[in-house]
Amino acid sequence: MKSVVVVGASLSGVRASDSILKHNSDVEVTLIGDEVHHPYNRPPLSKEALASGSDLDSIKLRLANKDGRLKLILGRSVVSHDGESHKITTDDGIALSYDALVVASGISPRRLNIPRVDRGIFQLRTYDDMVALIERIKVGEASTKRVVVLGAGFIGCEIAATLTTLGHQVTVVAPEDAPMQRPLGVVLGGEIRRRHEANGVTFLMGQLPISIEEAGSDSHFGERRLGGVTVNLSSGSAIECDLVIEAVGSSPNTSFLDSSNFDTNDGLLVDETLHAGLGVFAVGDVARYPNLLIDGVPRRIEHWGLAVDSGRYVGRSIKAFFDGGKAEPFTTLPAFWSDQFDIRLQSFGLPGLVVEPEAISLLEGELSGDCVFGYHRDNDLVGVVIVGMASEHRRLKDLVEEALSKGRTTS
Amino acid sequence: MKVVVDLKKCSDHGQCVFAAPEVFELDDRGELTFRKLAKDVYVTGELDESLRDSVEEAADICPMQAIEIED
Ligand SMILES: Cc1cc2nc3c(=O)[nH]c(=O)nc-3n(C[C@H](O)[C@H](O)[C@H](O)COP(=O)(O)OP(=O)(O)OC[C@H]3O[C@@H](n4cnc5c(N)ncnc54)[C@H](O)[C@@H]3O)c2cc1C
Ligand code: SF4
Repeated sequence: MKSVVVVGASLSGVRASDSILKHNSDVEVTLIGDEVHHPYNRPPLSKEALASGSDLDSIKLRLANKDGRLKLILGRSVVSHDGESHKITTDDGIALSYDALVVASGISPRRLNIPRVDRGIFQLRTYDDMVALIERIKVGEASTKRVVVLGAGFIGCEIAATLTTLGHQVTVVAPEDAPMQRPLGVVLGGEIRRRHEANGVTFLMGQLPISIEEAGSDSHFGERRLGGVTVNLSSGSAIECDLVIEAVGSSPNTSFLDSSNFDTNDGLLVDETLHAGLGVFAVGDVARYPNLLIDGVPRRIEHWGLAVDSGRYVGRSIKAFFDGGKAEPFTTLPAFWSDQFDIRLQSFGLPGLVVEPEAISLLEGELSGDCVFGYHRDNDLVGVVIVGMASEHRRLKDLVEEALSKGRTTS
Repeated sequence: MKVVVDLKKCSDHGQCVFAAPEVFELDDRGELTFRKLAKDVYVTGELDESLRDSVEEAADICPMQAIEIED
């Protein structure tokens, strides 16, 4: 039996172990994760689960244990790696050897490097983060909480929508001109802002938080409340609130690879078969890989679908590696979705590649209703973002896939 | 093999339709057609083994993890 170790027991790690066991009958998998919980699905943490306060059971991921060849180790973190001798070490000092290693360690939320108080500031990546946030929302004098969300990316906007729906008063602060500016662009981002505002969210765009302190007697806004904090902004204004949620981006979890000679500048760099060399593979949010369907430039993609697809793929890549060959490249079309209020966004391709406003255009529908935006590079379509129109997804996905294959053959 | 869809979890993302169009379908309002047949949980009839790969893929890529496979 060969041994494969998977570091990170979340979406991509779970799908990777399923596919490794499925495609390699002579392999045992050890799946190691530092969270104590059974692997679970993250998207509901900012949506349904946050709204309903639901328990872990309702968001657990299915994990196959084909022929009992899977060993799951939870609550342990991998702290170091030796690429030459094919070994990893966990925080309780246990060394494990492997024939192939899969890095599925994902990302951690970034923290702003500004002066701050040590309470009242939350992040949302894990189930425990969500529970802590819900606990904080429950306590205190007023049932309506004043919430400041730092960051207007997908997660910030989803949290804003969910908490507003629950009746809280939410202000989003971010440096860009429009929410989700990259990848949506200013026009669609501006329209999503309008819809959020119609539902009661306040946006302070073009501003940076410069410090977070105890709410003082000189607070500029609102009445004072026990336990409040004040967020001071670059514009000179300040917002008093009950809690702050920091949703300002992420950094890949690769510190355990620091002692290896791999490129971990922004995630683990791998080739088009998700192989970094020496039997080390990467999947999910942490993988920086070239997608030959697009342009072969290595990128990290933080989408749920990519974690699933790369995990499902890597079992074949490892099989080919064990057989002394190379699998066909991983070229799945990237896709994401996001739910905010009654707005359903779905994307295919990589709209985030396009920054010039003139390369982004309304392809179908009305801006104020259901619509499709197209994102172009050198006049070739590289991505779409769809608002609503669920029954058209198939057609639009094919459209992007075709445009990308055509763009590749003509360039 | 049968497929069980938790219609309370499902939020009509339609990803299952990409993976297993033989089994899943959205109607013209963008809702999973099983909704017309059941309220909380829909269980398909016995499916052919040749559909296993695509049904497994559907279960994997369902964003709400609303699809289970029963043997
Ligand atoms: C609140 C929220 C909402 C989201 N909503 C959407 C959405 O609507 N649409 C969408 O497309 N995507 C969404 N995403 C993104 C999606 O969830 C991620 O792309 C996906 O979780 C990536 O999976 P992963 O397995 O690569 O990484 P992760 O889920 O980050 O898992 C990595 C795991 O590895 C563990 N780990 C890290 N280092 C070590 C170590 N050294 N040893 C052991 N274990 C380690 C981590 O603790 C973690 O459990 C959302 C994410 C969040 C947080
Ligand atoms: S993919 Fe899941 S959520 Fe979407 S329609 Fe199918 S079962 Fe429902």
